[in-house]
Amino acid sequence: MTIAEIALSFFRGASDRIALTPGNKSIAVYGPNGAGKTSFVDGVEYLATGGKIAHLAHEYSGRRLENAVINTHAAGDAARTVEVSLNSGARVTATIAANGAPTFEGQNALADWDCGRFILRQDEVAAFIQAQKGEKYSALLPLIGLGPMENVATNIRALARKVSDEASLERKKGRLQQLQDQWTEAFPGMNNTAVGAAIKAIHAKYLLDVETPPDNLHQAVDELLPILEARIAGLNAEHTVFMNLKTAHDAVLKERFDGLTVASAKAAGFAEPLLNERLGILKSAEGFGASLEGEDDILCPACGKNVSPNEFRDHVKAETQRLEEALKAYGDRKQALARLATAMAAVTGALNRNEMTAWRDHADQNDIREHLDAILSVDSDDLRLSASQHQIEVLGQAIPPVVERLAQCVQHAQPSVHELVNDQKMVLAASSHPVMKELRNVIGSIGELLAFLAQAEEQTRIEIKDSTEQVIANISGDMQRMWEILHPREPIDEVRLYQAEGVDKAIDIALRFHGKDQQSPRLTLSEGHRNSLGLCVFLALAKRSDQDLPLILDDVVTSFDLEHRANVADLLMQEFADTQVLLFTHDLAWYIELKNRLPGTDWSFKALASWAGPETGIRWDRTPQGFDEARAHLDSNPGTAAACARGILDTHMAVIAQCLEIPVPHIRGPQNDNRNALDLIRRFAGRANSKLKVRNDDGDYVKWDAPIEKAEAVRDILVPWANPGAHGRQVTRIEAERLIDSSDDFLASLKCSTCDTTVWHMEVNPRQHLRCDCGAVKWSL
Amino acid sequence: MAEEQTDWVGTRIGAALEVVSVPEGTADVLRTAMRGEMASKRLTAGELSQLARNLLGSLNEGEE
Repeated sequence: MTIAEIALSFFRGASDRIALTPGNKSIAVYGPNGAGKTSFVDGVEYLATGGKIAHLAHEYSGRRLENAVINTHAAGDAARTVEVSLNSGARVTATIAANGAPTFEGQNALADWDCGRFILRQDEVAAFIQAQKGEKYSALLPLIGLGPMENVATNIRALARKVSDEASLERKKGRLQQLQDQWTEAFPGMNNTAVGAAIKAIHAKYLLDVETPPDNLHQAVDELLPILEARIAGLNAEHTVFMNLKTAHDAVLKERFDGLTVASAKAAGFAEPLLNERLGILKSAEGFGASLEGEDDILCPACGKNVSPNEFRDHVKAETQRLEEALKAYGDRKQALARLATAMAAVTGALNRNEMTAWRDHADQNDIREHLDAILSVDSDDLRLSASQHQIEVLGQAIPPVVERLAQCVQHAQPSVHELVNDQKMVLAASSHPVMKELRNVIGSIGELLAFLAQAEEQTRIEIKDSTEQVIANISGDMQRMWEILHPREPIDEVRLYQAEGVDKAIDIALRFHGKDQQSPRLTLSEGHRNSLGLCVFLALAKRSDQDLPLILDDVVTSFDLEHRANVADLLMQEFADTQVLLFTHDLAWYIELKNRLPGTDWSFKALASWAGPETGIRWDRTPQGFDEARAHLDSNPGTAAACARGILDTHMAVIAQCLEIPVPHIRGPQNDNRNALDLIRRFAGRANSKLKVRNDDGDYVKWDAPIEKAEAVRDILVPWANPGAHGRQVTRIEAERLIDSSDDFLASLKCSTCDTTVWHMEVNPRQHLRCDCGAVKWSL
Repeated sequence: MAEEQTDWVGTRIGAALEVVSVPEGTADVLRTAMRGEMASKRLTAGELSQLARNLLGSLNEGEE
């Protein structure tokens, strides 16, 4: 897709409609500072983004950018519009209301135009170089589907957490732990065979009429449970009390509470210093983001000191380990609390029974009454979730005397009651065997699903890494080639993107500096070189884009020196011959150089006049040589106008002399590279006498006088009027205007009147002539 | 996702299955999601819950 026209009316610097018309060519636009070049770039961004322009969005620009995009002096009924016409025939327009509200038409034609990929502005040139590794990674994500892959990886991680929640995995694990504890208490140190034998023995004890107890554990348990319940129901009141006391006593409440105390102490050992250190880390982390800008050492959030990246990684690893230990301690405490809650449920369940009322109310319990009430009022389900410090202190005082009393009481129980309680405990524990098996299976399946998800995430990350490797290899190849064009035979080479070791989602730029590998251009490169590298990265990314978009470069070579700036033309010709480029520059010398180097078949050139004010708006320079810039100073300062004209002439003549191979003697020192127009015009006029020919009506080539006479006319007034400071006199408006007109006339005269080819743009023919397209004018080399 | 980008899902899920074995139905649920909704955006909590239930349900189907 290519842009045929960008037209602005009362948008940014424009007043009445002004159109930039590249047609189906690339275009270079020159304009002095403030002439309105960027307004065209802003117009494209405005339409492509649906009314947003990133560099204009700030607190003063208004919600709809109304304070920034509308010409400050636009009348209420002025047509405020932006239009972009594509060579495909599509046309996109925005009509902007006085309050900034835009109305778009045909916007779909620009729907896929990602401004970050095809517009590069002056202040963004080095943005990729300066960006953090993670930002560079994000910039590359949209290439070849890395964005969807990143979505997949992130979603899988979140999905794993949801699977745990939806399956109530932690609750299931808690329940299994509880049953396993009961099993261990009932069958301490016993394997499955011994458990089977114990249940068989109980079966034989209570089911005397069955000769051979069943081998199947579940069957034996199923037969025993109703028998034991009947036995318990048949106990007399005294035995029932003993039975419940024994049950409460065997719940090992004291041991469970001690277990909680130990686990709490260990967890608390982490808690206070952990909180303090986390607070310190947060404070360090505040400076962390800021310190990453342009610094090699990293302010470590773990220790608060500047450390190398390797030390930083070690610190983070140690911190992670410590946090994992702390989390385990908290997990152990949670488990101890659950065990205490289970024991508490057994105790309250046994002692709160109706048949225990007499025991509870008996005067024997008066000395522990307060503690007993404290225990019996505990809600074991609440306790399982959490316990306050106060609750733990109350239980710490209540449990020992109550447990001691229970131990005293159960000593008086009949042996048969002891036996019955033990037998019931074993049978109940054995009855939970199928539930435990089921829970283990379910937890195992969920664990495998979580492991599978973790593998899927890891595999996705590997895919992303591999794809990234491929992408950055391709881009690096383009970058290196472009860098070579901009910096031929320089000792900075092998520029490339690379994935940072051991860090996910991180990409940086490496290079070789005078034979030494460097992991970042920020270590050694000057600002100019960084900007040059930034341009290469942007162009390499643009080249890899699967979208066929134009390239818009807005004053991107300001920090380039003369030589490197010149190489940009080569870069554009070699790498972007098939891409439409809209290039804006305030650098007249570079613009003139581009005019002479870029092929006129693919490129057109336009110059903007100085911006005179909001009423006048953006205007094209009426002369192809750019002398309107000098004319703009005529009224206010004729001396400046004359000096400006001479500067323009200096620039043109340097290029003309080079193209026409006009020999100049070497001058020692920097003056050799800074010859002024006067010297070159003298030499041109002298050489043109024998070299510049025009074909007459008879078909013969004869001396072409007109340009020579105009050159001599400029030569005569250049010294006295172009540099008034050197001659101690003021230049009048009339003199300055005459100098400008003469200069303009002279340059305009160097053009074939038939085919419009300028002399210095002519083709070299095999007989060492420069010849215009129609052959009417020639210059002998 | 584009056609050439769906291949990686099959390949990578295959590699994951070589390390951890889950019922084929479970792998199918994840494969389908990775080729569709999971790739197009960050899923909402509700969408993640539904997908988690589908995966857990597929585990039970595998056992049956």
